[in-house]
Amino acid sequence: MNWILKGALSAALMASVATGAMAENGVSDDKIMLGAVDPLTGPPSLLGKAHALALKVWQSDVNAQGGINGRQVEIIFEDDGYVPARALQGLKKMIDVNDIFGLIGTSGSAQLAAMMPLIDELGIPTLNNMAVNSHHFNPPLNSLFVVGPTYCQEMSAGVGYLVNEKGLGDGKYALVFQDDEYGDDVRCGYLDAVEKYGLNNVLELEFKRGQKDFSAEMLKARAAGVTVLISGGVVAEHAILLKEAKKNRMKIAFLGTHASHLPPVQALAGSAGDGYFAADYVPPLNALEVPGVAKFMELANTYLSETEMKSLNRYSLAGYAGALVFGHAMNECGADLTRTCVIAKLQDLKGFETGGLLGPVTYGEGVRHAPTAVVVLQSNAADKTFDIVSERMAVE
Amino acid sequence: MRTGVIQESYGELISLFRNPTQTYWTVALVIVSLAAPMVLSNHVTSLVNGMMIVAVGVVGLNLLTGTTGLISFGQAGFLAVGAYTAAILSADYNMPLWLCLPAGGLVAAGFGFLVGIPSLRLKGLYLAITTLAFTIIITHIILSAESITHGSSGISAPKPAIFGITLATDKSFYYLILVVLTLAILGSANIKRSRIGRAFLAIREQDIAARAMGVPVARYKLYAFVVSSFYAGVAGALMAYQIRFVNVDSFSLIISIEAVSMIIVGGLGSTAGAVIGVFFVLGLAEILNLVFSSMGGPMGSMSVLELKGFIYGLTIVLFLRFEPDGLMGIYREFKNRWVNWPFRY
Repeated sequence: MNWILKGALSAALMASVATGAMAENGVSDDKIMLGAVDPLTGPPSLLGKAHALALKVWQSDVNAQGGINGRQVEIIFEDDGYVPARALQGLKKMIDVNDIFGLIGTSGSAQLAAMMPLIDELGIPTLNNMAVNSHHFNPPLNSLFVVGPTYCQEMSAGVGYLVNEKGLGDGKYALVFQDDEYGDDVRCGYLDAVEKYGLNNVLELEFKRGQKDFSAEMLKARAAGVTVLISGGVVAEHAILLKEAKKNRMKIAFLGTHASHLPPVQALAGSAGDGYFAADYVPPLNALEVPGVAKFMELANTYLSETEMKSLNRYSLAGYAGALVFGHAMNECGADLTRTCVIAKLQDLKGFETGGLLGPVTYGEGVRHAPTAVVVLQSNAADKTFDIVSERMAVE
Repeated sequence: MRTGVIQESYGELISLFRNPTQTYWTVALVIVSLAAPMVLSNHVTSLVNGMMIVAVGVVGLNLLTGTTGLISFGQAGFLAVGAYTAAILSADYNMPLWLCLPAGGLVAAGFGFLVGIPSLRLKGLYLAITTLAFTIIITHIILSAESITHGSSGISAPKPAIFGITLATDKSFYYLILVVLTLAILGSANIKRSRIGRAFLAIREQDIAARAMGVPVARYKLYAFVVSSFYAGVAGALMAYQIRFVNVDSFSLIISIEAVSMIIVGGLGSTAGAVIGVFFVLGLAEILNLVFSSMGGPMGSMSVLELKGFIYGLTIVLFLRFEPDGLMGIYREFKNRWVNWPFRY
């Protein structure tokens, strides 16, 4: 009897050890826990709420279709208020309390930088589709995948459109950029294009973050005879520059980064915001001819309230597309869902399509950045929409 | 019934604890503090670490604002100086943590000396604005001095390690912060009991009268700034090791304002109040997070997030309005009632 008891206990112990060894963080028989750190309060919540709502749409859609290989998806959101320390704290909480499997919301550039050591240490499969910076993938971390071009790549491609398609190669170019990492990245793309196309760079003006008066800058631009203005502002700065240009009766072509592809920029700029260009890697929400956009809007109408619909913007499409990429990798792993498998499946992605939301997504061995193709949009101030005015442009 | 604590000798006058009850409570607090990481989860330990780091800086601010009466909104700037000093020395020059921590404090103290000079002529709102400007200037310097500070890219700090022992986990790092906080509290308590502390108090009450009594006001105002910024610098250095990434986004002006609100909520001039104020203000934010998470999480309803901010702000405003002596005032009131009961006095 004694040996039977010992045998049964040993078998139970071995089984529990084996189960423990096989169990993956955040994955149970019927559920996958994912995490997202987003700025959900304060001014940057314009980005974070739109992103988080898209993840909510994706989660609802996936679950309505039976989940990923039979497992329902649950996304835990942490509000970081766009503060790096709070982003790290939020991630620690999701790991410790919620036992997340992966991370599909990584807030801003500095916020992700603060989380990167922990992501790398624990090998958490992570997809960044919100704020792309070369520090995120250079050097690459095994479990951190980045979708979308850097601002540098985006701006370089955008200026390329103005030169090649709009025939503005002979113009007088000027750059107004913020005195931070974001501004530096925009400047990188601008200078890259200046060198590549031999442009006449007449002015580069740096401004302090939070500056709201650009009258001096625009007077300088007018004095220098600027005809093409590249904006390295974040949100309100684009609108203020446009208004100043109109006030000074300057006839200029205006190009901003994807941060200018936001409803508040159009709203603040008013009629001055008619016709400006924005370089982006996702189409506008109104481009229902793009299958991915049409599908997202249909799902959003199903799963979001009327108030929530008003919070959607281009970060929603970026977030939804990122979730599609991550979901595809999880799906490919089948029933045996592990972090190692998801990382391998993401790494194996070659030209993954998101219904036109992004250009084809490709990673590889030691390649953790998919600089998807850029598209240039043009603002319609009257109906507050954007038109797609360029083909997808591959970035270098 | 105990009617008071009477010191009958010089030894009793200068002793750290005024009576056996204080000693017992302190011993209990030490035991709880040492055992806490063994009981708390990683997440809660990490939160406590963050609170203790803030407490180091706020204890320093209390010496400046609470004890000396000099309003400063420059703590975020001093914090940034300390954090950048530690991050640069550890990441770019491979200097050990035991050198980087005091270095963060000393460099911040140097800046504190510079900022303190205008305080010799300025008071109240004028001084507050001057110190506020310091935070803006320091951010600008950090962004401009790219060759030293890495500009807007920020700096990644290495894992904390001291004397060959890696403190990579929150639980191990906790003990280092605990030691630093204990030293900070003891330092503050001792300063307040010394000639310097009494000079600080005299300046707070009326600096002209203090000068008339022979207190060299200019020197002691500078002392206050230097000591306070040293504390903030050390807190910044600890923060750099905790987050392991430093950039200007982490040092917004709101940090300085929150720090002042913490010492007011805790009780101006009290070291214990400063620490309690930190735990109350930051703990309140976490409790609200917990409450709203249990109601469906941040995505349950987006408008709930704004409500959370409103409740947080309202609580602090009500506190300032109805209990200007802060939490220490409430504690003292409660203690008096307890000791004197059933009598009013």
